[in-house]
Amino acid sequence: MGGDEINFIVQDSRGNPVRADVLARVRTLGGDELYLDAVSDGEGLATFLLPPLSQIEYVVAASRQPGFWNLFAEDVDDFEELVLQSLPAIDEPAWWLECLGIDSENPDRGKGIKIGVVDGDFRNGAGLEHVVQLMATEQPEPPDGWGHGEAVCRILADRDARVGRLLSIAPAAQVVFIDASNENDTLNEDAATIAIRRLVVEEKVDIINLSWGNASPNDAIRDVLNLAAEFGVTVVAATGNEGFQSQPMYPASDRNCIGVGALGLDKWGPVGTLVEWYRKRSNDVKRQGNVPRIGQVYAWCDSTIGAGVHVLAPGVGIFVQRNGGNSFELSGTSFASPMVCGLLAVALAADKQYLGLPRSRGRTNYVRQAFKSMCRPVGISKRYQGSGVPSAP
Amino acid sequence: MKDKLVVCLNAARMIESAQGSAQYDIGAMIKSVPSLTILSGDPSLAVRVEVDQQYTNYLRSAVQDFCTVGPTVEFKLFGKPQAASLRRLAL
Repeated sequence: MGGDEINFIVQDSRGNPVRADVLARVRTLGGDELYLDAVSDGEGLATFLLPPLSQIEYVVAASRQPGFWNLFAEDVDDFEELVLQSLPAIDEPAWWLECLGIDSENPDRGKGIKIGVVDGDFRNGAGLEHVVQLMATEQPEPPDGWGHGEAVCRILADRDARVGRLLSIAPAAQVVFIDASNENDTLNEDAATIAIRRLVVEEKVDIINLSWGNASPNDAIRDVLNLAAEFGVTVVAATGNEGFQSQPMYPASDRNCIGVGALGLDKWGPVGTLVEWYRKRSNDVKRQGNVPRIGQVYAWCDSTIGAGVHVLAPGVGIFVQRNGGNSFELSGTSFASPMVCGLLAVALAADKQYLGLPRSRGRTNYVRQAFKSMCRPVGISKRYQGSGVPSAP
Repeated sequence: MKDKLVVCLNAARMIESAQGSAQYDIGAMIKSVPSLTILSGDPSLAVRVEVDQQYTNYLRSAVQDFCTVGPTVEFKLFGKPQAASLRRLAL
């Protein structure tokens, strides 16, 4: 028996086609849920073949081209056009810099601090020429969309003259990137362990960012994180996007990591965007708080909760600009983690006592104490926020 | 049946190795384990191996006091739009 073909046209507000990942949630006649996905083509056309008499309940469209908010649309039975809204121009420091107390007028923030990143999918370009790339995997051709490791590095230290000032946390920090990803776009623990040791022992980094994880603790990663701590290296890790039903992922939950969950800003993201939907989904008094400089905030609905969430940092609707052009809009604890990593770089670069310490467990403990003093509860339940939201001293 | 496992220097040996006070070769330690193949990694720290299940305990004893042996794990990146994440939207 044939199904019903539904076509969507993904376009911008002027009717130009946009290439995007489109996900549709479908309710079948029997009441079952189905999730279908498609990629819009060069004409903006995304086609779904639905089971007979089923209905689309909502659609999410995530642009593969920069410059657009991700879209969320309900009641799309008769909907054929998915219009992606343009991102606003960037002409003032982003809310995440304000949230973290970063002085955007200081171009040298983070200078002298070396950050290691273990991740995947790094694509170099304007603003990231300074990044030292080790153990690179072959990229057959630049895919469209954005690269995960690239986005992490741009949040940390994009040196584009304008972006570095307005969007990036620690543009003057040194960054060493190690690609430990495999063909599945995941990381194997042997590659990740080797990468972390290399950053600690050979590259002598000061801080490491890990925007990945797994539900189960892992012996190899546990032991190399212990090595990092013994050698005075602080490790910051994302707690995962498994939602409020889940515990923080590993390695964020390791005792030698600072685990970072994601925070959203209430007034950020226009109606009809995925960010707006995240805000609605996070509408619970336990998840609501206030950061004095920026106003009402919320613990992101997809951020994990419980012991292992040490802090929250901006991670919803984050703009990552590529090559001085338009931005991608991204959400995830992957992007909250480099916010904290970059903040630590900014703070430690100005901390003379830290700079004089030998690379030892004592230095790691010093950073943990200094970081704790930077964190303030913001009114969100402790299970969601840990010690709160950090701010530059 | 084959097991895929990760063999990695334990915490104490890892520190010794990093400090330069001792060097270890996991490849030499596990060379005698029948059926074992090294799939990837760095023998001075961690390797991913494949071995017949019947020899897994043999492998563990071959590296005892030097290495941890555990199942292989893949870590996922926490930023890519994931269908599982989007699926929770309607909960």
